[in-house]
Amino acid sequence: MQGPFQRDPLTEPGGAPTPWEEMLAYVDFSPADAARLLTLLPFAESHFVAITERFYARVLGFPGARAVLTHDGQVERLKGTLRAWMADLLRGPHDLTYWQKRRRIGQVHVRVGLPERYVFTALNLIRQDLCEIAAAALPQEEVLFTCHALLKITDLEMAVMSGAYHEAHEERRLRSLQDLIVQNLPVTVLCLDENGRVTSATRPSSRLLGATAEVGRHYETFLPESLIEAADLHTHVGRALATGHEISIPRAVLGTKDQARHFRLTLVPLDHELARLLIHIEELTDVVRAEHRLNQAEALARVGGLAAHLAHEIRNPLAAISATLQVITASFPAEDRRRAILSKVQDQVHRLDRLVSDLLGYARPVSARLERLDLAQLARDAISQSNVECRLEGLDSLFARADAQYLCQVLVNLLQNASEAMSHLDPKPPVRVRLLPGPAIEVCDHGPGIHADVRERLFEPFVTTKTKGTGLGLAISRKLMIGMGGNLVLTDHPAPGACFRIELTEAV
Amino acid sequence: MTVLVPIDATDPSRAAVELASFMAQALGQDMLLLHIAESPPPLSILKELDTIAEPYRARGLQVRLRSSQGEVVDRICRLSAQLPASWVVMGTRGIPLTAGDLGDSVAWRVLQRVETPVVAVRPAADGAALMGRLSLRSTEPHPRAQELARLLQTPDLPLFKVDQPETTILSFDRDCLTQGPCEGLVSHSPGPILLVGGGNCYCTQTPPSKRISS
Repeated sequence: MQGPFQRDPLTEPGGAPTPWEEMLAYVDFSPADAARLLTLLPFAESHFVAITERFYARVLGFPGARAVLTHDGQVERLKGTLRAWMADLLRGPHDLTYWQKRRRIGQVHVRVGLPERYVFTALNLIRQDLCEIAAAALPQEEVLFTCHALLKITDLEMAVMSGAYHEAHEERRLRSLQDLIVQNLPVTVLCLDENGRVTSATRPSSRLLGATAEVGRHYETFLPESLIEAADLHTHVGRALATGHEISIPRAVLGTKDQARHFRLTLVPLDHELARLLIHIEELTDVVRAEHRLNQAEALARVGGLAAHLAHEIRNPLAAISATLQVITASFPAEDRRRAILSKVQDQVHRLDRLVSDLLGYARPVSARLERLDLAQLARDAISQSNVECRLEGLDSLFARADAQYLCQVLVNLLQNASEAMSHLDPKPPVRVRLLPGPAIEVCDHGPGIHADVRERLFEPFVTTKTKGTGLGLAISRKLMIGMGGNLVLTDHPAPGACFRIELTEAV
Repeated sequence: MTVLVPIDATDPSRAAVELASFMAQALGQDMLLLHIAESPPPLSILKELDTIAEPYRARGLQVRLRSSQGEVVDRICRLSAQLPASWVVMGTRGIPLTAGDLGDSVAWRVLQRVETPVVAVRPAADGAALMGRLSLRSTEPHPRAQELARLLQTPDLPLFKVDQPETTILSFDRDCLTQGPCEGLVSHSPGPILLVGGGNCYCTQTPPSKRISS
């Protein structure tokens, strides 16, 4: 018979004592104790049935235990298990194998859901019964030592049970924490079981995918059909499962043009009873739009650079033409008709010069000097400079951080555009200028408005609704606003008329 | 455009995939393997479809997979229109010989309902979709049957072997097949039968058969 202090294969060779060995040493459970328990066994065996019946009668008297031990068949099986348990308790050997077996029994109690207080009080009942049997069956001088041995071994059993409950509790806490972390990760991740059902999903899944994103649904109803089609998801799922390798779907696009949403999906096959496939979904819409804007900006910058170069080259010949025209004009008498003709040519040269200036202005990098500005005062200055009749409304006190010269230039441009848009009206109503929280300035007119065909491209260079105009005014104005950290947009304004909104950054 | 192949686990389905792969290659199109069930399928179905698709991908064909739920014929109708599909190719164990059998065959119902050109493959006993010479039945075959014949007239196909039973292309016509000159042909012919239907397809009279290949 292997004693408790003989190392068995479960021990790491030459390693530190196992927890069981420590516990045996702590309560001083000796080979003599084991021998006493073995001596008691033949006397106790005939009482095991009675002990078991009394034990379960007591336990089932408690509603909490009855709630767990609901079936007669279950209780009968447990009675048999208890009898075997008592036999092992007395027989031993109380080695590491014994300990592993007792730990498994403890884990069963946890799985069954029997509250630990019933287990501990039950051990006390068995200890009492076995002590009474020892007192009745053994020589007087052995009774005390045998009862001490019973105390030690049942205390050890309680320690093992307690350990099992503690481990289960810790595992539940850890799993709960893991679930909490997974739920709150700022990523959209789904796990599918072998049936294709979503067994777990991070919280952002519902935000990204909408109301159908409920755990338990099949992925074909969990995910939008449009996403499944756009990603050709079935094909890639098949591939991932067949190869066992991660599959990336770099781009799946839903919708078209400005409403398009871009996604990247990654499929990771798993080997777990609850999860066969992991799907990670990232929305890239913002990234794609930013890339598009960057590409546009780069393209415009290249065009701008070329245009600026060309403008420089044109300026000198234009100046020479203008000067020559002046000389030729001056050489004719005042009443000569050729003066009028040359004057028209001069007008066209001036027009070309303005175009060149605007183009150079557009191409010039924006180097804004930002300062705290009183927008009401700046608006009044711009109105005065533009010589346009306006009605100033909104907040009296509004401040923003901007470049005074640039902002004034933008506002003057908008005021003049608004006035020109109403040139057909008689009497011409005033242009409405509103100072709004944001901070923002709105410039609105009662003209014909902006046609739907032009709205999308209004701020692009060379787009104009005017019969005379370079088509660069709004492009330059927006460029200046963006250079100041703001923006210039066309708002949705009820007809008739158009409304432009200057968006600014707050003054700190 | 796509060649749509509704498949299940049967041998005729495998033959349909084989035929569809030749057609897709000849047309320069991809192939879509479609599994239809009443309820959402387990992931293993897609894995199986991928396994079926792999040899054809190795031949340079683009093969996609799709799993769909619902009534079989309805799903095939909708998907063939939605994709759109150039052909629907599916397997069949045989075409019903009497009016009483009409309800059972999925292929029969697809041949009648789907607007897209359909070819139902009744493979040879060994499961082959194509073998021997190509034979186009009827004196005035439907244009779709002729189109299929032209499509299959490529040097890569395992045809033109005189010692093998011929591959017969039939235009789908219920009366012709159940009562007329083609009665019994589908069930008794040892070689593959390619039954062409879809939309308003018909078969005009009669034998003798017109061999395409010499």
